[in-house]
Amino acid sequence: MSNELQFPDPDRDRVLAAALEPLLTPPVDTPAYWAGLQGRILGRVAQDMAPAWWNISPTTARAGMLAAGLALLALGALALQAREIEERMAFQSVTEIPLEVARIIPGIDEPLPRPGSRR
Amino acid sequence: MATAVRPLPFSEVSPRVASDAADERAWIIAAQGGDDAAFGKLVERHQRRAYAVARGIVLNHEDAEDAVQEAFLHAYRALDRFRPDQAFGAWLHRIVANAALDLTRRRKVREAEELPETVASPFRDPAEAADLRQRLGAALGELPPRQRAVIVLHDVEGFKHAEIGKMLSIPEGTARSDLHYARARLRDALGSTWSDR
Repeated sequence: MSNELQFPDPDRDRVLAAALEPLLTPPVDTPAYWAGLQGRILGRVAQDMAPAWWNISPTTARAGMLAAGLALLALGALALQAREIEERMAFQSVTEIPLEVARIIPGIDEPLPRPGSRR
Repeated sequence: MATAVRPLPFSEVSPRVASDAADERAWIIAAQGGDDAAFGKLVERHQRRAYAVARGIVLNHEDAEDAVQEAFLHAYRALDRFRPDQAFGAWLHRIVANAALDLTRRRKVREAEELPETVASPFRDPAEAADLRQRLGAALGELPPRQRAVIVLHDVEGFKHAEIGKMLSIPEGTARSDLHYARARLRDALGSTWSDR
């Protein structure tokens, strides 16, 4: 007898399917088993989706990098400004006569005469 | 003596009526919006068939469970890319089949495990049924994983060749030839028991 006569349905072999089905069920095929499996699946999904501190999304990471970059730029600008002020003050401290000294020695803050000129 | 309970055929477990389809669509949309309870409904509805597909490929209970869990996790992660007008079952089964095939690649397939005790059988004689299950299980184990996937998806789950081709990323013709080869091998293995029926 040919296979075709034994299995008249060429599209879907229902007899073979019926024979296979018992091999495709869990050892304990009860509602409690399926409820348990469902719970484990959902538990695994929840565990996987729980946010962890080391799990930073790419969007958050980009925003963080941008913020850090801006902060560095601002710090750099502030440091430059502070240095400039410091230099100006240092320069002024040696070129300008303090007010107290000018009061004690009149005329000390006047510009020095050019060499060779007469008062 | 334990009474054998005939489980529903997998084809009858599938969503049956239009309202089921509407429910499913609503659950998918809700799950895509972050509703975990809705995703739970999808799991509840599809896990049995997902298990059958995985079991047919990996051949043992523990690996089938692992593959099903892995597949649902993957499906959850990819849910935002799923269009609700697609067939969720086919989409999920593709993921399940690939998870199971991946598992078989990573692990050595263990020897056929102990077969279920109280499963129903088309055979009247329990001894004959046990013999059939043993031989069928062994023959299934000798098939390459992809052929197992094809025969389970086609003959047990009722998917068409083109759908199976898409699920397993193989040409439709390959799915057909895999099915033909797998059937021939299983029928050969069943031999006299089958032809006596």
